[in-house]
Amino acid sequence: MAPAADIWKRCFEQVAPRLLLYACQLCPSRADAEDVVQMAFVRWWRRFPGGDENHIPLLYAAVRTIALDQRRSQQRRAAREAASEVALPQGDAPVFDPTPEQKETAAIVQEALEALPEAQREVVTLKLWGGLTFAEIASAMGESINTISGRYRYALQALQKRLAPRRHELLMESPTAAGNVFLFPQPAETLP
Amino acid sequence: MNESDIETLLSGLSPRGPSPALERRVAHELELDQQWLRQPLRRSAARWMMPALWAGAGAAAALAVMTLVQPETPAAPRVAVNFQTPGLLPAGTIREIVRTEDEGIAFNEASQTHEQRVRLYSLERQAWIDPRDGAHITVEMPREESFVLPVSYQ
Repeated sequence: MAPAADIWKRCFEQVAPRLLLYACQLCPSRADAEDVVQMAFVRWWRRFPGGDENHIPLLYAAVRTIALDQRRSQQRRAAREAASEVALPQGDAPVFDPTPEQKETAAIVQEALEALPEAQREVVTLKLWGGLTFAEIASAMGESINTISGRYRYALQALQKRLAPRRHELLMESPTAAGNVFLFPQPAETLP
Repeated sequence: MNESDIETLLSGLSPRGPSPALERRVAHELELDQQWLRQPLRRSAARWMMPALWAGAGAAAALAVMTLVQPETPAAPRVAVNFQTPGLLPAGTIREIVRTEDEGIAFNEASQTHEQRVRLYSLERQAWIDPRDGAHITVEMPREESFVLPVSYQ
């Protein structure tokens, strides 16, 4: 039986990249996103020390809550300091870990993602990289399933519109070769 | 390029991993938790130390008062309750006087003095708390005591 330290480490290694990607959609910088992931993961692990996969959606919900709390506090501080509005995810901080063949694709996709409204970006991140179902996303975001699926559909259409002109550049690479295997694979879900 | 192509393209990209510093910070926090878990009783003892001390002080004060007035008859046999389990901590002792009966003044031939006899009915409640789960244990003991008070005429 693996020691307790190894159990959390294994779980952390598997979920942290996806949590960070999601947190990056909500935080102004990667450093802030790492703080959020740290707090969320520790809180979640204290509550579910075995790292039960059934509670993974709660982990994403915790990331969201903490990130929004942090943003509110930053907004208050920014207002006090008469600073500008909270920044969008930093464009210069890569959120993907592409293979050498995927470098260009990753940059294009990141740019296209950042152009999406935040609510749509959240849904796409949770669905495609978090592996959550629409029901789980709806629960985490406090919205209806129809709203979430609508946002996902609009996001895909927007991405399609944005990426279509660069279709040839994107198809030159082979994204399916990437090792993005979901920790807890979800069955294919059709849009309601 | 349809929606399915987009989904495949996007999900084919792996998110960037966390920095080593993040993993160290998480490890440090979880290690602190483990340290805390290894010493649950000591922490609990500290939390309940003050009520326990107050209970002890109250009991000592009650004993001191009781020694001033000597009961004529031995006290009713106390119920032996042993809650010396390491987890249990005394939370307090309350003694409630139910009623008193004045049995009048009598002359004690042995001591050649007048004495007033008072019978006291009381209920003593002793409480313990298990700090591990917050469970309360309360024991009620009815007591009947007879006090003899010296009487002096002026």
